[in-house]
Amino acid sequence: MDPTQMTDERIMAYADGELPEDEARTIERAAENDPEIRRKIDLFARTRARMKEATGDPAPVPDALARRIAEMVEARAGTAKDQEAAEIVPLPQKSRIWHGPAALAACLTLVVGLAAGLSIGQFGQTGPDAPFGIAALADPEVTDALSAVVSGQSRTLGSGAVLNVIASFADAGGGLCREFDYAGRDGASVVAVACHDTSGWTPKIAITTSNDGQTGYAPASSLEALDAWLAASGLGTPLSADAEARRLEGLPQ
Amino acid sequence: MSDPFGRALIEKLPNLRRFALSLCRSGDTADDLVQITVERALSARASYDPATRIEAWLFRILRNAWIDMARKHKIRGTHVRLEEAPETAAAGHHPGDARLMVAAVMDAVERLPIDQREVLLLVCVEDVSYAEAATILDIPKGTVMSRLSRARTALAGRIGIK
Repeated sequence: MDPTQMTDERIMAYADGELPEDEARTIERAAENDPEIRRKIDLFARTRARMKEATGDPAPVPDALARRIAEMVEARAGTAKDQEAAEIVPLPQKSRIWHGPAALAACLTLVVGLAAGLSIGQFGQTGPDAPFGIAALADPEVTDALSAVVSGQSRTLGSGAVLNVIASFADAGGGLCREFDYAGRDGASVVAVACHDTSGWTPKIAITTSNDGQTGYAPASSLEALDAWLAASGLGTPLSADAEARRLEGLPQ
Repeated sequence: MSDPFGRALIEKLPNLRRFALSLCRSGDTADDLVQITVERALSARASYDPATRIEAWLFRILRNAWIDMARKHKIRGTHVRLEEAPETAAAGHHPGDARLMVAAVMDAVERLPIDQREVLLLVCVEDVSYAEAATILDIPKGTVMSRLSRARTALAGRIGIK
């Protein structure tokens, strides 16, 4: 933030106690001579107070839920299993569901791997022959993660990128396909489906968003394209956790 | 319960459920989300950094669980409006004009875009910091601030704060 700019964001950060002391003093000095800054400080302080008043304390959770969770917590407290699971971190995933379709359409690249005509690289390649030309998918750690991480969980790769497996599907031949997010440290983000065949994991469809410096989200419409592709490929219904686990175990090591 | 991690989890359940309701608008779905969040938190507890506040970590897990759920079940919009989910209304007592004020605030919040609403609820209701909100929502802190500022300016206009 440019400390000479009295933006709404900086004034709000002052009202919320989020500014370092020296910057806060700058705002206070400016506010002494500027009623507009004072008005905004008041606006931000009052909106926060009104939100607090309107929501009050959260309601207690329903008894049935409280009981189920207390049992889960008791059962799992301090077991060795927790330590094993620690390597799987359910953390970043791009928010991409609620965003308007038009906003980022311009920076959307949608590549569909058709059966004929398109040469699709395998995972593990680098450089210009990387799958779909998306360097992120050439990370060999991606293939390892696809063979191991259960749906709904994430793995942080050595590069700092985060791979989040969304769902598994069975293709027409009974092979395992997996839908996943890949968020690189540089902000590059890919939503893709890969299927396992004799040569390993092969990407079938990938949707990338270029990093706009703000969000890097894919617009909702791109997910409709993905859904349509899943449906057309006969991959409409995700596998259950049990079915997924059996198929993951059955993959060649 | 002797385990402090478990105690901290249980203590945050009402806040988790309130945030879940603001996302999914359905009591049953909110309960599912809270349960999934606890399951994931228990599985990944070694990845929790005790130097950070546990609620920020839990909100993040919950929101990711919601995204997964919405994705799998093709939930694209909202099922119930906020006022139809009575648990989300204030738990305290708000007689008379105060009750009208609560309704006006909640109605104004309801009309905000989801990306502004979730930042507003996290910061102004759940008291997470800008940095924590950025981590929970997986967006830059500058984006947290611009969404929050827009949300509060819009809210102020709708409830008559000048």
